[in-house]
Amino acid sequence: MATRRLTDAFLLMRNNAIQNRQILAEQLADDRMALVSGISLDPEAAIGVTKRLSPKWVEGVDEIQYEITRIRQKMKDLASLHDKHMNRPTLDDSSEEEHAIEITTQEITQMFHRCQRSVTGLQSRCARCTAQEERLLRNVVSSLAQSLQELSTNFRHTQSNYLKRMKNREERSKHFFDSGPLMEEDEDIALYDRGFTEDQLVMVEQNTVMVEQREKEIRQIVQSISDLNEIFRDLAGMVVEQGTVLDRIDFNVEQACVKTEDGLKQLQKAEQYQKKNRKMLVILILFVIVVVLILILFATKFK
Amino acid sequence: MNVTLAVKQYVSKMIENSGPGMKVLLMDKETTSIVSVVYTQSEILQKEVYLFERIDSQNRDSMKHLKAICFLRPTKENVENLIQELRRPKYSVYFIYFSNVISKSEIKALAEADEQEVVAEVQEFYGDFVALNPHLFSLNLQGVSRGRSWEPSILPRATQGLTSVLLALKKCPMIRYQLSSDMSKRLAECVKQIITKEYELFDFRKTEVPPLLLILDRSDDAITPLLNQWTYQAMVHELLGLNNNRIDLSRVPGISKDLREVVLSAENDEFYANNLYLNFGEIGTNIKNLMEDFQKKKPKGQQKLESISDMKAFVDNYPQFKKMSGTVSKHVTVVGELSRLVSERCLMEVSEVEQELACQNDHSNAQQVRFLPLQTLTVTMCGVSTASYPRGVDRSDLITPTDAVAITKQFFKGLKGVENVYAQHQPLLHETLDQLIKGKLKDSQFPYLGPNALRDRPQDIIVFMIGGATYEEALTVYNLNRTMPGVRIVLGGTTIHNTKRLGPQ
Repeated sequence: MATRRLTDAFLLMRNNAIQNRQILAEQLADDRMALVSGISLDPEAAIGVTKRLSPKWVEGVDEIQYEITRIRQKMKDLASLHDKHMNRPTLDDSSEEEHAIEITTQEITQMFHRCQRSVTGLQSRCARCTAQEERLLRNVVSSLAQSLQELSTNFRHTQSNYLKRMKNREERSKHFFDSGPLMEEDEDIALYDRGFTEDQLVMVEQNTVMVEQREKEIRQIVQSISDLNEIFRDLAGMVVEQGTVLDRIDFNVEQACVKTEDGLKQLQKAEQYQKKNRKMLVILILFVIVVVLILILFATKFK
Repeated sequence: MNVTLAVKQYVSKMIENSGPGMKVLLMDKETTSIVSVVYTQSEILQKEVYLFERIDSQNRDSMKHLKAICFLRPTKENVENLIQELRRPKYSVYFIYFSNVISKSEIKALAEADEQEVVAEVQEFYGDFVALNPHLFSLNLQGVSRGRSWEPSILPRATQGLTSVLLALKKCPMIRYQLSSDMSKRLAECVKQIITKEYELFDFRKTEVPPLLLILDRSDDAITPLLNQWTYQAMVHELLGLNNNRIDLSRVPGISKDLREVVLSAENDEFYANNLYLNFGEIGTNIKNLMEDFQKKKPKGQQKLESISDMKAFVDNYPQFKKMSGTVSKHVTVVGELSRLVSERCLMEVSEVEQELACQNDHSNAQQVRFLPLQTLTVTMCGVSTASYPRGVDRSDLITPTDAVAITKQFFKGLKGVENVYAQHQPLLHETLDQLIKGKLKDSQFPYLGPNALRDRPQDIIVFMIGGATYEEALTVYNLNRTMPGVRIVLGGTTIHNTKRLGPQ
């Protein structure tokens, strides 16, 4: 992959060219002329500056991109939280972490919602722009939608992985709980020797609390997945399918050319029509004038 | 030695160099194809390149919030257009990349036009060829010859293309050419000239065994492009016409609107990547498997998304499913059309006859003339049963093996029996390359340019076929690359042939 940089040579030549131009200008006119001509050039430059103001929606794009990076960051956080939660050696004092996971998940889901809304909003922002700007906007939207979609797929994967691991663990713990009910049955039989100690009762209680907690967690995750489902469907419409001819650069460039040519042709046709129309109008007016004049002529003649 | 990757790297580097922000990619006609075969639009959109424009399109709007990346061939018209563009810049900053060596005077003209100082970068990025496969490139040049010598306007372009391949792959090769062809000698000389002129560009780290550039002429093996092909890529090209990895299917009866034109690119189509070099029969089975797979994955009725788990499963599978459905419908259409054409044109029978003719002749140069009727035969055979082929009419003329080696070879071939009647023919390139790799290629037929000769076996070989390569040869090169350890071959041609395109040459 060899390359050659010609920038330095180019810059040198450009500077030379500018200097030459200045010298030439100085030779041609006295100082005042030079100054005046400099001033006359200025407005154009000013126009250049004002033109530099980009359309409003560009800010929106930046915002979305910022949001996307934030989602990425949050997802990383969430993943580490998940790991911590799953690999924790003991099962107690978990509420804090669970709470953190819950909050992060909710935040991410909200962010996804926000992004999706702003991307759809972006589409309608281009009320009165040119065809080219529209093309640009369409491309921007589709690219944003694509990255958002990828992110949401990732997010879903981590969520469902987490869910699976949770379920696994639950099953394992169920193993342990299975002995629970059995013991309860035993309790009836062995009532009179008061087999269940205070400790065991507390443990059973704790376990039921824990199971409920798990239930809650799982429900929340499922909720977030179904939320994402909606976003996903919305985004799918905006993304150009990869590998199709619509995804070819040359195809799109050709299409743009064809469209421009078509537009030009239509314009020419319209112009022609208009011209014809004007001609007809003139003829009509002249005709009317002639008729009126004839009438006047008759009127004056046979008075 | 991967041409696709080389071009891809060039493009990514261009985009990287321009920094963050929204960008527009300005190209000319040729660079548009060069970029599009290696990058899909969605890939490039991810890099914040949001608009693609031709430098020669007139009514482009002024968009000062965009940076422009210009990737252009260093032609006169492009420089002229660029000068106009710089006089009235439409974008905020310009990063200019030429796909080949550009002269100082043109740089100067550009520098003088850049009054508003909008140019930030001028570089040469040598991606001046269309990389169709990792080991196959084309220059998309038609009508390269006039009589037996070069069409004067084409020779510089061919030289530029070939040198850019060398530069992109970072090879400063020794050159061998085909003695029997004036054109290959001319091209070899031109390439050598560029290498000596731009010696500082070609100053790469020396490898133990220098790379080799072998320049061949199509006229040496005019049979290969005439034969009907039975591997997927080659067949598609022969029957439907592959144009920069795109196929036009608009002539297929009853085609849906989405499939008027499809893309076959090994880069982002797994099925195609796996089946590119398989023959028609195998593709049939693979397509069947693909369909079955697809049926399994297909969600059972879109409405049945009642429970959460259903929904989850749907969302998990949806992207895969969507991609797959696109792939399946595309390949089923293509293969369906191929098989329709095969039966309509009785290609099985035709091909058998062709193969028989081509293989028994064993490529003697003197017999080439005999193969001119082959094409006519192919055409006239349509609809005529094999029985009507005049067996033994000129057989005695056709079979005249030139030397003893050829006779024995043929004899052994006869003993071994033929694996596949439709694919017995091996292009001449196979033999040439085989000899080259073994170091047995005769210097008298393929002399070196310059006094030095390669002592060892070559490792990196770039083959360039004047007058166009074929996908059958691409397959040969692919197989050689796979079976010969330590040997890496890249094949290129002025174009990629099929029977239709060979006609006017």
